[in-house]
Amino acid sequence: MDPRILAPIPTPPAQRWREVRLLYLPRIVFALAVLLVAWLWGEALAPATLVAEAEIAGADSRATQAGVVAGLKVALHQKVRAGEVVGHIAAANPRLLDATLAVIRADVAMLGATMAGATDRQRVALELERMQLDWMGHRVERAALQGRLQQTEADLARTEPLHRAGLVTEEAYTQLKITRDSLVAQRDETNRMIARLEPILSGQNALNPTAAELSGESALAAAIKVQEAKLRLAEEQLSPVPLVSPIDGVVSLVLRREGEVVVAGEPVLRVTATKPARLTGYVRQPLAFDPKPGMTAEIRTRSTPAKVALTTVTQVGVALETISPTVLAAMHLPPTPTPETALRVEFALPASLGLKPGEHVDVVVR
Amino acid sequence: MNVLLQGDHASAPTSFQALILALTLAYIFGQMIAWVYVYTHAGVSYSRSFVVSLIVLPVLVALVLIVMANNVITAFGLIAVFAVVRFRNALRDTLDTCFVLAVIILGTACGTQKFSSAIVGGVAVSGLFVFLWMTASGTRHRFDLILNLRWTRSAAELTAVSHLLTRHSLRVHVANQHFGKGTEAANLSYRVLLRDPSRAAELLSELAELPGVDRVASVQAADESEI
Repeated sequence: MDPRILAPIPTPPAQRWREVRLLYLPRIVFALAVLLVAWLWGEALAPATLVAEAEIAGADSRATQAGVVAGLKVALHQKVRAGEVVGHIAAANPRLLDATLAVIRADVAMLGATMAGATDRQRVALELERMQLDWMGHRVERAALQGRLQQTEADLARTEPLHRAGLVTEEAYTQLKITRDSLVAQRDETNRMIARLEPILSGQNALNPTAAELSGESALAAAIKVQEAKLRLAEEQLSPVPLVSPIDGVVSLVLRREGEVVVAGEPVLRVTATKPARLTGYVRQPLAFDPKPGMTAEIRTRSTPAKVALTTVTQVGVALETISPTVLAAMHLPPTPTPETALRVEFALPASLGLKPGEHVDVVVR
Repeated sequence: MNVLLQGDHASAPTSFQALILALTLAYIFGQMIAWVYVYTHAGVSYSRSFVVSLIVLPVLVALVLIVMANNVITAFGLIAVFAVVRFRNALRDTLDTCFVLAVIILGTACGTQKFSSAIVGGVAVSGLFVFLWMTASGTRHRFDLILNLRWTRSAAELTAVSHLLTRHSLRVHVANQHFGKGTEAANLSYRVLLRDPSRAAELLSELAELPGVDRVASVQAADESEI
């Protein structure tokens, strides 16, 4: 070592720190920033090939006949099972049904009046027919009561929340309840009457099966049968039709409330499956690649924190289709005057992501 | 953390990964351009605050565009506020402009109810300003002392001065050497980065005692500044 070279004086730590701070720290921070960007780019924010949507599997519960929605048992977001009765559709116009029943009642009365002037033997048989007509009369009465009762119960259900809110007087509400109770009592009494007559008639018919023939009025027997068929039809129309859930899921939309009139085929409820069936995305034009079933794709959720999973392409559309409005909205594209068409691609749903129906995800096809 | 991330009351939810990526990438590009500027600058007018502004401005612009989120009304509001401030104040220094712009952007973020963006952006921009101040970013040729001395011996014997300077300095830069005609005496000027600035007086006295050294003078070195 050159003896003329002098030993350097010691550098204090503060001075060394100053050197690090001014000379090396900016470079270290810059390098860290580059690494952070590289990590964010690769792990979380690499540009997506396309946007996909967890497809919503849903079905409508529709009215099978025109009528009034009655006894809706479900509310929004309530879980239902396939085939579960979620409500009823009651006959639409109680007045029309009343009129139908009145016609049947009149016909039955007319048939009773035409039985005069028969022989003793015939009289026995005719008495049986009269008893049958009485029985039918009671059934007509019961059907009419049933119709009025349904209407009154619907009115009561509609009035109850109004009464709680103080918009309906106590008197009006009590009157409705009394009417309902009275109709229930009348219906029960009529039911008892029908139940009493039914075994007698069926027993007599079994002992004397030719009673109708003995009456000598085969036309009368046929007319009675016609009226009975009419009565059965009226009874069927009066009985409420159950509204069933078509699939397992959750009530996602209530389109009609209790008391609302619906036409046949009109949706009353929308039931949505709790889990999506598949992921659907669209490759925009010009097609950057040719998607094929079996290709691997990376799915990234848009939720916080983002989840990542691998999946495969299951189906590829054969023609270009209009992009679903919800997927289009998720792409954040500028609005165009005409709908954009793209190639539809379906992906298997990775179970680990726990996607909700309708959720949007970013897809990177490798 | 989730509470912080849910503070943006805007039409489109903010992706915080995208926000961090945007701000970091903007800083990288700003720093790159600033370094290029520092190493390629050839004029006499060099300003450290201008270099710092080159680093900060991309970050501020990234933040302002995130806050605006394609909202034309917000953009007009921001321009109007900045125009009012600029109209009433003559901002000579570009770094001052950056500070004004930063507070306007953060105010806009709060006003447009992008609270999370305001918090993240505010912390990031403040941190960047402190970091750039702490690292004296933009400083060129950093030295502690300018030494002027007259050397009366031969130029070949100048190593004695060099050895002494190396003993006390981390970095030595010969700024000027002036040799007279017909004489061995020379006027020398050095810029030195001291190992221990508190022992500068010791360096001066050792230099004064060195044979051949005449008239030692020192000046505290300052940053190159805008002329």
